[in-house]
Amino acid sequence: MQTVLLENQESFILEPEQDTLYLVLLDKEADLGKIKVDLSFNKSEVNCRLLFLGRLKSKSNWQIESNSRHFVPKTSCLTEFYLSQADESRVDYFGQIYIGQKASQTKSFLKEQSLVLGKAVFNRSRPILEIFNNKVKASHSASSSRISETDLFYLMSRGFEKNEAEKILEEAFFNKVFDSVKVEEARELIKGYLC
Amino acid sequence: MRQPSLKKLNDAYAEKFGFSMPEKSVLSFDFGLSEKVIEDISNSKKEPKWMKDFRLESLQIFRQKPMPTWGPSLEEIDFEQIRYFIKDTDVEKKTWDEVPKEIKDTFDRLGVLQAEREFLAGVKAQYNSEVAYSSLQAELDEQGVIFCSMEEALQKHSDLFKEYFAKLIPAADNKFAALNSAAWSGGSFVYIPPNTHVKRPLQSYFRINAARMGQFERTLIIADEGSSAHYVEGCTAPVYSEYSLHSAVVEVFVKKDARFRYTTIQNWSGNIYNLVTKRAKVFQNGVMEWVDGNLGAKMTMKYPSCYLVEEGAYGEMLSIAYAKNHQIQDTGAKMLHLAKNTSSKIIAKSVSIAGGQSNYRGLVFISKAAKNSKSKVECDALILDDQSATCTYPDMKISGENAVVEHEASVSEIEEEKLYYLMSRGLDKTEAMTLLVAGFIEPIVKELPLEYAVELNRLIELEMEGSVG
Amino acid sequence: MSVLKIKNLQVSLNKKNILDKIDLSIKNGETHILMGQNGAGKSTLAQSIMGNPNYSVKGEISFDTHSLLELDPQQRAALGIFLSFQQILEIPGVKIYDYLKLLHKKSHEKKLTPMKFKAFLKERMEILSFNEEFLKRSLNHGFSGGEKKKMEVLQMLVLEPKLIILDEIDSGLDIDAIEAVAKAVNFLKKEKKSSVLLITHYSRILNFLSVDHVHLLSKGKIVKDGDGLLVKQIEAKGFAAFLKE
Repeated sequence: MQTVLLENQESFILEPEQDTLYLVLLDKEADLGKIKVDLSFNKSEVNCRLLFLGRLKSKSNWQIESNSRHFVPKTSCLTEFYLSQADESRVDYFGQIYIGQKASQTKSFLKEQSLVLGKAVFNRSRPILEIFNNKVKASHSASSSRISETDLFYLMSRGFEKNEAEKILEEAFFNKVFDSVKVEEARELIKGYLC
Repeated sequence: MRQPSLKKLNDAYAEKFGFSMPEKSVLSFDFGLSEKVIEDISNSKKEPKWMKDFRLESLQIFRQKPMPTWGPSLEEIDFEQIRYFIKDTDVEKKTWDEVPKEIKDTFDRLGVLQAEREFLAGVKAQYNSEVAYSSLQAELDEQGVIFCSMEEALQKHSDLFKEYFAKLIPAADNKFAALNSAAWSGGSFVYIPPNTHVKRPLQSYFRINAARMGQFERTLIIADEGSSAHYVEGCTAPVYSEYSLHSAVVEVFVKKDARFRYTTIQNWSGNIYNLVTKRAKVFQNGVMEWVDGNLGAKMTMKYPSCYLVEEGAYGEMLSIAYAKNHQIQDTGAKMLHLAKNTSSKIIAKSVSIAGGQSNYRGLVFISKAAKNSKSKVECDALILDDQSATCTYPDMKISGENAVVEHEASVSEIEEEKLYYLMSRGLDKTEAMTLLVAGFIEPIVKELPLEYAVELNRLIELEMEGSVG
Repeated sequence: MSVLKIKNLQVSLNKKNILDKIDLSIKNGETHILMGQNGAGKSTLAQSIMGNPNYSVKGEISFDTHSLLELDPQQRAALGIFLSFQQILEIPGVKIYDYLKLLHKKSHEKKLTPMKFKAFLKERMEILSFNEEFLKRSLNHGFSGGEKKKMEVLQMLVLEPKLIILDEIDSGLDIDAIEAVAKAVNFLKKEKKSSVLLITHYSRILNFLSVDHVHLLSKGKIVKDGDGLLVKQIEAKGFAAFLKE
């Protein structure tokens, strides 16, 4: 599977020809962010993963959109978002999976997780499924929650300061994604982003 | 074991449900909406001036409001081709012979009693309910519970009525709420006094007559502090109506520590647009549960909501949608968390078959004030053939601190392995599919009153027999 | 007269050959044991008899006077063939009582009144020491491995098949449960003269069943036939010793 880093652009219109891992690393320094990725599957037997990682800084404001559109049989796409949100950050996320009537045996999943680190955070998400074929597997899941108090307490009881403990848990959150990426090239990119 | 005529019947049931009765069968009344029609409605009900004014104001709002710009297309609705008012006596002019054979056959299959059939087909204005109902009424009177028609409540309990009426869903809420506010007729009024627990479900089915089951029903419910009750409306048997538009408004107030469940099962004939606004306002530690099943109609748009306005309030929505033959079931729920420690749950299950489309459309809003709030949403769609479709449009807006929001949606077909397993035990494909569909919706069906659950399963069986290829 | 007759059977899954030149016949009331290492093709044979659409099958399988290969699983079940699955599916929402009632209705010409059906079911559940509480649950949903196996056998007792095929029904069962399953099989053998094809790795269940024939399957072929003694020999020496011959 090839790795393609999507950067320096607001909008990407893509038609994958081969198995690809698209990696989007949201700018950690940006105050105002906007990105849109359109993936149209017009070639059979193409499997993609679209991975967004974002550590959103304090008071930043993000608009993110993803579309996976499946028009032919036997394609698959896994779209994932892992975002951590600092104080007063805002995210408006719109994500769509479209499976056309001819696109049998499509698998398309959307997974969205945001970890709320700070105060006064706003999070809007609209994960949309539009399915016009019955021989498919499709799902989306979204969850937004704070760092678990139990985990925080556990670490603090071992002598960590609260902000240190939060940092460890944020790392743990992203490490789960990191571990799921097997392509070395992508792993290096993610590693660079996280530290 | 299959009857030879069954296929035919089901084809008819499937294809021809969208017929309309010949126009000659009804006395001609004014079509379209005018001040005169609204005044006629109000005058015939001998309403106080404030209500007449409210209706006329609502008419103005209706005219100004645009059609919804989202959701499925409502272009085909022609407001000038709708009859907005019809008297009970005119309903009686219709005869059983005029009821289409398809509807009669379906009643046969479901074993609906003759008295009910005439009522459901709109031949009889009043469904003479059984003794069970009058004994319930006596019980309710003793407890101080008010359960009557909206017209009766406006006359006899005017203060209470005026205090709550249209306070949760003002006419200006949306175009169809405005239409209902202008032309409303029929529906139930329920008041449960503080700390009163109504054991038996309040069933509108035993109360309604054709006028009340009209196209612009209005229901107002107040569950006072610490009370509990369960209200059930609709029925699983198909309800034939020549009106092409049904637009009801339901307002429920759930006071502190009260608990209210509102169950709806609707199976309108296939010519009907069913566009309903339902809303509950839930106070401190109150619990509101919507249970909603939609089987019929040409198009349903219905998103019951809970406004969780005080600490500890809880809102729940359990829904089933069954879309077939180019029907569109566009349903969902809205949970608005406006105070701290509030929680909500939405479970929506849909089945799309033979060209039907089921959509889930929902909102979870957690305001800044709603600290420590929780919401969980689960949407499961079953899609049975390549002619059908299913879409999911959730919207989650979260600003409350320490909010925990979970959302899951999945689309699946009937698994071949399960089909084979059941067929290897001797079930034919239709029976196996029916069993699996019934199993899929069972978590919601089990929340229905028993007789509704049994009828619903029977109905799904009947529907599946004609639709599985 | 033979109930089941298999002639020159060839079976493949996803174009891979699994069974080759299988001949087997089971007569009325007989009990046959099919043994073999993992991957030998035992389950494939069972699934082919039942008509699993995933397998492509050549050759002949007949049951009584019917040729099975053109029939779908439901029609085979209607003839009186029953297969207990090795991988047992969970079907949430399907209520066991209603389901069993439906199975009984499908497999018996004479309908029972609800009272009589309850008595019928109670008697059969007792054979398996099944708690009646199970009737309210969903089919196999959240069941332990052992409970799932017993639920398969309960379905068998309701259907009362002429040919019982049990695919490793004894795996993962404790000795009491194995005895109960054997009791259920013996019940149908006595009451309905049912024939049995039992796939197993172990001889334990055979302490409770009388065996007429044993077949050893290896790499898609039947390599040895014998009587009940063969099981003891295999258990003592291991499969490898027989496969070398």
